[in-house]
Amino acid sequence: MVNEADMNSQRPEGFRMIGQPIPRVDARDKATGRTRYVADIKVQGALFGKVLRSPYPHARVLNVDISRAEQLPGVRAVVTHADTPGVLYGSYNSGIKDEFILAKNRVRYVGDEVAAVAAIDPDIAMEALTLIRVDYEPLPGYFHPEEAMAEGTVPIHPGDRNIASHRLTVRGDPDAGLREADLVLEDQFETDLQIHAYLEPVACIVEYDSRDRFHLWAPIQNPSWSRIIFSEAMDLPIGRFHCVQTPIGGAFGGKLEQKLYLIGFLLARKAKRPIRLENTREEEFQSSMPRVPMVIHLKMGMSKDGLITAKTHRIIADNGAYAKYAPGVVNLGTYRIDGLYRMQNVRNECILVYTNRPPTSAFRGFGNPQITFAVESMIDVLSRKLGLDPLEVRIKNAALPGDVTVHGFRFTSCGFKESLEEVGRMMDYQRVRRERGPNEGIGLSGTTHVCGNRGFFPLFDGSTAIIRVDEGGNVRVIPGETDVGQGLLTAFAMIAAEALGVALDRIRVDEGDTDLSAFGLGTWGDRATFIGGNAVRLAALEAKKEILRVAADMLEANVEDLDIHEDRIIVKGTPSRRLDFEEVTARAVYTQGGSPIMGKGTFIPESDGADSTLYGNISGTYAFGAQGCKIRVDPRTGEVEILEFYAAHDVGRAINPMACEGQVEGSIAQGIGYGLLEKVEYKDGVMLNPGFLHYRVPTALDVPKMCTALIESIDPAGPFGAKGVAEPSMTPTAACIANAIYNAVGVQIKEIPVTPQKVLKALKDKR
Amino acid sequence: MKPVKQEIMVTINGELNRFFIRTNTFLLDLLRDELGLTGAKRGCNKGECGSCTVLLDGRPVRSCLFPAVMADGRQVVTIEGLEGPGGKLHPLQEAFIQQGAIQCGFCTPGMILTAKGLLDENPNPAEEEIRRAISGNICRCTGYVKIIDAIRTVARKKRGD
Repeated sequence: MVNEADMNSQRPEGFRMIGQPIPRVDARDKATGRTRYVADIKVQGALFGKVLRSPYPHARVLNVDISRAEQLPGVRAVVTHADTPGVLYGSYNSGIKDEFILAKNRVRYVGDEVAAVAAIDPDIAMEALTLIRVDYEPLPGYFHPEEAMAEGTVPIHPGDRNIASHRLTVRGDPDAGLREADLVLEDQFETDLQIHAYLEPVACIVEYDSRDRFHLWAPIQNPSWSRIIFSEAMDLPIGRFHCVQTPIGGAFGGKLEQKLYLIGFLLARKAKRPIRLENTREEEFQSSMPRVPMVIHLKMGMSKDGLITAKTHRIIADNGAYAKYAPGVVNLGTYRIDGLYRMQNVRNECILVYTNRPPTSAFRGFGNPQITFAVESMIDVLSRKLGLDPLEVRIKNAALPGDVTVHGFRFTSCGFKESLEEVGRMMDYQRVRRERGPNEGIGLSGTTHVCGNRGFFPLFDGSTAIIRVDEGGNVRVIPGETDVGQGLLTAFAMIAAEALGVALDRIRVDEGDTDLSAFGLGTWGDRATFIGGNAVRLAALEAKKEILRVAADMLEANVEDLDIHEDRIIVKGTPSRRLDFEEVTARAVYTQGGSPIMGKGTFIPESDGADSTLYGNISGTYAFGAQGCKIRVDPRTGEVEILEFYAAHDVGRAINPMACEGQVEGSIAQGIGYGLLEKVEYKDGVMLNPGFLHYRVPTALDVPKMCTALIESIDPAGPFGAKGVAEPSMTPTAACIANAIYNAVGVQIKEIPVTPQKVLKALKDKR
Repeated sequence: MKPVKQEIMVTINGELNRFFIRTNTFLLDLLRDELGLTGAKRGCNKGECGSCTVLLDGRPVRSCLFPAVMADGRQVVTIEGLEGPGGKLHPLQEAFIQQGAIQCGFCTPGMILTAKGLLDENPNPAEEEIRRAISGNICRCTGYVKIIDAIRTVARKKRGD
């Protein structure tokens, strides 16, 4: 019996579940050690693989002799370039194909894969690596784009001056815009590599079956898409690859497809045994695909009343040894900010240069944190010099709902102004700006980001989810996106439960499996909740329709009069006429030849892609946010202590506010690492600090108190109004800190990470 | 050099075990490979990330660097041993779940055990003491905010506030 009181206990706006801070559906397994990450899975008969990597940043490979390694007892396979199809492949994004699975006759960074072994235990595999003899002829190494672009350098790949990609975009009249300005400033900003440092090292299990099919178990963000790359690199049809996503122990953009998996395929095929491969932490630091470093030459004009009249930038970015997703990062990631402040005149030039450092690639924010550091720092400097308040200047220029940006983005919902105002309110901005302790300062910054990106995957944008309801009323959701640790399993379970009208514990959301799921583009570009969530909602509604159709027969009622509420099928207005969910699902299955109830939902966002100049609405919606912080600088040591952090993010609607806050808090910590702590030390292409001891990922002692507000702009296209939050929340943090440092001690640091040495030098130069 | 083998007796999660192991075996390998207790994670294998943390006689240790033979005659508790009879979770597990202190989960077992080590020794830690105690356990996802909150909640409950 459903009574009126139950009906009235519904949440505001009629939601039972959306908007509730519900614990993660996978939390209990994670808290009790039950979750099986790939390294926790035992496979009978699996061999241990190890990869031989180049010790040179740049060298010719003259000869690889594996004969002694092959003879070592316990070694079952050794693979080199000769075991690969010998075709060049790439990330299927940039169009650039510049790498082999194993080096042919050239290595291009310290860590470049040369050979691999599989043996019956890890010690034998390690010993076998020492028995492989590689003759190298060292070539000059280039560790900075400026060096690599110089005349007369040895090309790292065939091509001119080591340039991997070069793009120029002009909108409006940037020169006229600069002439109109009352103040034009020009400066250079620099950002460095950042290592993902997810806690779970990349690992995989590979099996090669008797029908010549490869099966991969791995923590992979984009299982379906990866098959395209595997197919290209292995020169085999897509259907030969089956990818199963295992629980992902953190990704942040670093667990898109990996070369390690391709090496696993080669070893499994040659050894005819399952293979287990695991990166060591040192390999993760030295040879993963870190954030793209950029030197950003920025020019901006502002009128004396604070309007931005023009912006031009010229970015020289370090692609590292191979073009993975770095072309996407510089070209698609660095122009988003132009919409944040209603700019009309911009000129963006991006030059991406090969060097002999690790291939750089996708990392939370995807180019946006780099450019945002520069632009948000510059807005502070301009405001200051014009005697204006940086918060007011930002509000004055802020994007508004309904805007079509200079690049053609359509802002169907936009809570940027509200985010700025909320941060100002939370931190008591006006008062704290006046009354602050010695060497204390506050800073602000803003951000916008895509929620999916039509330009990023060339074939299509969208998502399809499948829902299967069995006779027992169990609901299985098969999505196309992956939980990378952010809580997508929970968000999708909540969306399905809400749309179906059933309890959360009926729902189980699958991890990715390319033999079962639709072609899912995976999790990147802040797309998963917005695009995948819509697909899950539509699939649930379709399943619900089918359930109600069966229930209508049973109740001799019209489908339109029925609804599902708290696991019961009810006749609206006649609460006494009802059926339990299981009664209906059992009837449906038993009377329809055993067929489960199926729902399939496809969502294609209303984006139209970009033209050849990158003009166009590339995302179905956009996320916004603002951050503020309070810091203290020790002028004797140059050390920056973060005292408080404030963040307000327009998430559309918080499906699960606790999870949204978690994304923001984790982002701020990564942003503090990026802005202050995480510094790679290189000498001649060798990373000198490849471990947590000397590469300082923030610890609990490095992060301040945080205060997060979620702004709900209720996006018209979002699932229940939701947008993304995981990437934009990382983007503004470094600039926020840099601006606070100026506010504290009067120096604007233009290079991150802001080490104490840089602060001291700037203070000294100021005197 | 041929590795030497040795017999050890270790109580793990309340149960006595006998092993005949190579003396160069680390506690983490013993737990994961011999017993299938994979809750302790190998995040760096250098004692720098904390994800392999287990309790040895009640104190947190980095099992990836701890020689298994030194656990002879001692008590080891892993995350699998924290769940009480009938599936009742330890208050720290419960608080981590309820308060959103878990994201990817890879640091979680080590983090919870480090927190247990702290609270067993100091049931009333100041926030700074909590931060210091878990500063050897790296979490890349949460920014530690909800982890610290969860530990504080349990501490408060222990005190009976």
